[in-house]
Amino acid sequence: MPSNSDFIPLVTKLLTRTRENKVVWKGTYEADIFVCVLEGGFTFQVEKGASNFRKLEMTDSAGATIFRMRAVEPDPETDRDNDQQWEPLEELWERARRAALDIDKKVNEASKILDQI
Amino acid sequence: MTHEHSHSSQNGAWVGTDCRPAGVEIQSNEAYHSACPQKKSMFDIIAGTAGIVGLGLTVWTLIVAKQARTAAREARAAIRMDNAAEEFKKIAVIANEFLGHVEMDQVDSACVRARDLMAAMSVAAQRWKSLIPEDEVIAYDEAYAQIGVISRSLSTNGPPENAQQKQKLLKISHSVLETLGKRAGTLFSEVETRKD
Repeated sequence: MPSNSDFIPLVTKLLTRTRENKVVWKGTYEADIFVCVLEGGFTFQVEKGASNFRKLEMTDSAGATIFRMRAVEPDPETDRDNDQQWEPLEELWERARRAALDIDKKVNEASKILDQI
Repeated sequence: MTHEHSHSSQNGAWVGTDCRPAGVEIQSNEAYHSACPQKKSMFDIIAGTAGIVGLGLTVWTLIVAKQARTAAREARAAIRMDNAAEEFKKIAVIANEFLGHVEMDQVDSACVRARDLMAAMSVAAQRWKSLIPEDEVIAYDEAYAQIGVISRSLSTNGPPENAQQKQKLLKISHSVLETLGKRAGTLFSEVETRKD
């Protein structure tokens, strides 16, 4: 049975494409959940949970879960797998949020408005 | 074998329907034809004509068969498209009902319809994969993901906490309905175009 660490290369690739703005993230009804649909019917859903965890789920076109990855902020008690997954998941969630809410553009606009005041 | 004949030879030319000289016995067709050039050319003309007619009939049969196959294939495609249009219409109806429950703050009913919607969307996506254009697949899958988030949120957190949340919920639900309605509409339009 594959462990979550097997999916780290895929998550890293998704993160890279997100940094390059080559994938589209969309907001959802839940403020802390963002979705990204790729050609071929693959959907990624990244989430920040109430207890500050980060979760990434990949589903196929039939809605079946391919993998689900969940990590909490590392501390001395968390295991190595969790710590390894936290960093990409945290960055992915933050970048997905920035992309979905168009934060960079809005910050620039606000900055320009403030300059004109 | 001796053949009866009623012909005569005039200056060396054979006349009449049977051009064999009296007393000539025909051993084979080849011998007969070599002995009778007029018959041979007549036979060749008939054989040639029959061959051409036969070839023409074969070509015509092939064309008709191909046309019949094409018509049958088109009829099957039209039925398939009609079925797909009906299925997407049903999905759009479920989405509409879901939206109605959301508008009325009927969370339980909305959750049930959201589940129905997701199940129907999943089946339709697999069944009619070839009838969803690539540029609509992403919107369709995104609608599915959005409904999934809404369904989970409504069932765990209950109705929207404030007007702003409800506005967001309605906006997304409208968008989902639009995506599904568009697919059904496009398919019905294609069905009608084919009928014309």
